[in-house]
Amino acid sequence: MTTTCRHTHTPRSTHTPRSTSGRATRPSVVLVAAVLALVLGALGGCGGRPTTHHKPGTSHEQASGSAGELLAARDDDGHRFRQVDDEGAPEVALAARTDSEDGWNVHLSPRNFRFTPDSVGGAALPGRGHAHLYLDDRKVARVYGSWFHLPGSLVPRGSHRLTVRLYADDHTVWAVDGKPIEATIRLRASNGGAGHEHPEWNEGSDGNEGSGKSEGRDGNEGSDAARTVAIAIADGRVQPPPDRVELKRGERVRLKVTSDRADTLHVHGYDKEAELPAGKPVTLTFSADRTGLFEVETHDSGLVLTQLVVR
Amino acid sequence: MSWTRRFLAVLLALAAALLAAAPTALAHEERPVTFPDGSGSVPEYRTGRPDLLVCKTDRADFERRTSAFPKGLRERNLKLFDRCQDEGYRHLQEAVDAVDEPGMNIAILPGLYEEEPSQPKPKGGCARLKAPDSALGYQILSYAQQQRCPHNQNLVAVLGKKNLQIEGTGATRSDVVVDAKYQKLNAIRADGSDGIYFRNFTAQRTTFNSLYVLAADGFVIDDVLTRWNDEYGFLTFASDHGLYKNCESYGNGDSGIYPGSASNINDGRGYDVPRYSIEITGCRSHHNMVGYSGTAGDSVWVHDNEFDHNMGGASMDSAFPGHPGLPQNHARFERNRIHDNNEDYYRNVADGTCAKPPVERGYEDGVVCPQISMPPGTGIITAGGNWNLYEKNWVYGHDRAAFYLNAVPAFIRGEEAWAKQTDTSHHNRYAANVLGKDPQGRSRPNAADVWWDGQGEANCWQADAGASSPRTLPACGPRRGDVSGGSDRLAGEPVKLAQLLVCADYNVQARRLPAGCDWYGARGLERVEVQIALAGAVVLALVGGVLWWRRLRHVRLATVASALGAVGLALDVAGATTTLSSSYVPALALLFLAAWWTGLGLALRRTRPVFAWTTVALGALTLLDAFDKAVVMLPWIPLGPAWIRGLLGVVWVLWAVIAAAGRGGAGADADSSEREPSRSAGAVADAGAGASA
Repeated sequence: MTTTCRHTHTPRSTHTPRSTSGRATRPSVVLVAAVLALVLGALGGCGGRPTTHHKPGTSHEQASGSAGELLAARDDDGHRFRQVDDEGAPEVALAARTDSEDGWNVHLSPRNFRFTPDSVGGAALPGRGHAHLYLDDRKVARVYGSWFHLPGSLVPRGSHRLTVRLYADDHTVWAVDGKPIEATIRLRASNGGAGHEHPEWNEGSDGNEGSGKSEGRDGNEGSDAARTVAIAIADGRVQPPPDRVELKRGERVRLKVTSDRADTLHVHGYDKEAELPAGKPVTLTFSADRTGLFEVETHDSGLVLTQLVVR
Repeated sequence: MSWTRRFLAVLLALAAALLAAAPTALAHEERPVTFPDGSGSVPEYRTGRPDLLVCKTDRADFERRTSAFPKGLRERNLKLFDRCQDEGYRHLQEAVDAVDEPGMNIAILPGLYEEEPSQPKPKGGCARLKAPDSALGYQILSYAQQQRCPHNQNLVAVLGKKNLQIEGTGATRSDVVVDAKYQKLNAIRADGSDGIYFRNFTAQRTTFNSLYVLAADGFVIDDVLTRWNDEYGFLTFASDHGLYKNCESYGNGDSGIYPGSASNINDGRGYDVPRYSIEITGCRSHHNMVGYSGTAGDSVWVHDNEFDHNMGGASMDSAFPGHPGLPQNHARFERNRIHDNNEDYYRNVADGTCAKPPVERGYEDGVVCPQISMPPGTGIITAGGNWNLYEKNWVYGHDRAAFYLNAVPAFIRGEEAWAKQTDTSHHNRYAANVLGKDPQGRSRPNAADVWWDGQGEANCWQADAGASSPRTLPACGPRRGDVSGGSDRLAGEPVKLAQLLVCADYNVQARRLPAGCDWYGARGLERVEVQIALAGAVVLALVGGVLWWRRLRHVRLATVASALGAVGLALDVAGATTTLSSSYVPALALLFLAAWWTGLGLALRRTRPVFAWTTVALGALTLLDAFDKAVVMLPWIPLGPAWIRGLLGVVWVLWAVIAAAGRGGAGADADSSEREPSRSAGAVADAGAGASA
């Protein structure tokens, strides 16, 4: 688009006819021209001939950043690893909730990363790409967004690992310290994939470590990494009596709750829930990735079971 | 002579207003180039054994990429891959550099080509070239400098190779991707390479153009996709014998397809022309600022394409210097589907997204950074152009207008000769298009079918055009060149020029989005047109009201007239709103105002004859303006009645203030002296003297 500098042409041009047309019989015409010229000239405010086709527009700054270093290592499909610095590297966390009708609703929470479905197949640019989901090392899907429905039919009965791994647009594997950026959780299918046994969140996150090893585990399977808090409810009493549990941010916590009557377990702030069948222990495992004070309570009986202090 | 000159004086002032009026587009800065001599021809596609191969070395990757190909194509590719491992190149540039005679074919095998050897920033002598800087932030290099430092600006440079064919061998154009990763101005530049043929690949992510053909006599772009560029997808400049077919482009800050300065081979002709310099067909251009742009897009035949979901479908203009072939002329648009061009990408400027470096803006997620000012919601924009034919297109679903036409005076493009100042926009014919319906016949109306500033001669529109501004338009006859109700104005309507002036003050770098302009989201009272109408209405209401109260409130005719005037002023403001501006309301408002002034004049004729007849004259001019806007545009007048009416209106307001204040000003005297029928010759004489004082 034109530049305001062009305004400077206007006064010059309009003066010419005024001076050469002698005594104007219609002074108002020239007057208006002159007024307009003045106004426009004032708006212009710069001189010289126009030299550009439009105002400078956006910057056309050419990129020079690196998209990491290709390693010799490859994934099972032969895609090479693309290593980036730990700092600012993509991260991903994974969680799954059993669906009321079928399978699991899987939630991917990437950081420093965005899904770029339209540019897949293009060059790798930092912090972009897609994810692969693996069930026990078997690729289930390529994923372009944060939610994915995992059908029960894909998950045989038993316990499984569900892994998410981040890929660049050129299908290289994003990696830190030689290891892929990924997260794993455990899923348990009760009968050939119905997956309805425990409507609970299973979570995993690779965090900043880029270790690729940090596995979230289902509580039923036990976990070395998680801090376990066991609570029993009987006759409206909580045992041990409600207290505070201090956690470091990022620490995994495993709430193992047994209630003598059916109820719903709820963790405030994290908005995590689990049904508590009467007399049956239920485990809720998650990463305490938000700081603050959070109450753990039962919905129906309204009991405070404990408080989590995350620092 | 002096009469003409005086008009030109006005025109020039207006022209300044039009500065930006050229609402569109589009341009780039390049070394001085001239048109080819036109002795070439459109190259033919060559099948057969490729002379040079380009591929990568990872066989597993290649097999994965080709595994879903049809059997024959897969086998061919696997054979080519084996051959390529022995004798081929790993980068397209290497193959181009190996071209040693005209007519060679390069085959690029499926894969991703980042052209790593071309990526590094210039070093040594190439970092210190002496060349003028473009305001757009790069050096304007000579051809010799491009040869010396081909990768200062280009990922792949094709310089001076004749009849070269570069073809992807994949099943679709997305199987071969040349990706500049926003590290270069151009992904592929073909400069001085007559007869180049591009086929079946994708080029993407540059800070200017993906595919750039410069000064070529003969080129074909066939089944190529370009996307995500600061400015253009395809740019073919100062070229002749060109053909774009089955192409696609999206995500560009200016246009997807830009045949700028197409060879000006039909200059001086009428509608009948022997040939076109560039043909564009079967292409889709979407989600750009504009789908197609043609600064000096001369003699381009654009047919059977789809331009949709841009801010504007297509534009041609004469608004930028340095383009051979201005003013733009002889584009022919036929059977294109131009629809739903209503994207609002100015929000990306407003929220700071476009201030980031290109690589971080998120073009891949649908971000577009509009480089210039233009009216979003428009099908075809012509900002200074002549002898363009727009026929049999489907134009529908636009929030602003199907067709947008305004003039651009020559000095804006750097030409100051008097004779050239009004050389646009003339002889543009909009006929036999299907407006407001999709090809299946479903109703998809445009908010208005036409917006025209009113300037130019022998422009015409189809008689079945719906809402338009002005509400009446010159109508096209059945044959090209037939126009009924044609006009020939030296300047457009004043309020429209004011609006264009306001709208032009856009600056993407400064994040300046003019507040009064609805192109950037101004609504209701924020719009400059409404503000002008409202200001005018307030002044006229005050002056008219005082005049009536002090001089005429006992005169029935004047009271009725003043009431009509009040209605007229209200309608005038209403008619300036987006909803009603293309309806009959603006003309109706003028009709009421004409009645007001006429009635007022007649009521005053005995007491203040000079002022009275001036008032009547103003009424007559206003009536003429209404007629001009709603019934038929008056031929043979060099400026619309609105101009004269506006000027006389200013005089009238001042005069009315004097008349209302009047000598002795007290109501009783004036009232008695002006009450009809007047009995006092002395009062008449006094009033007359007062008025002429």
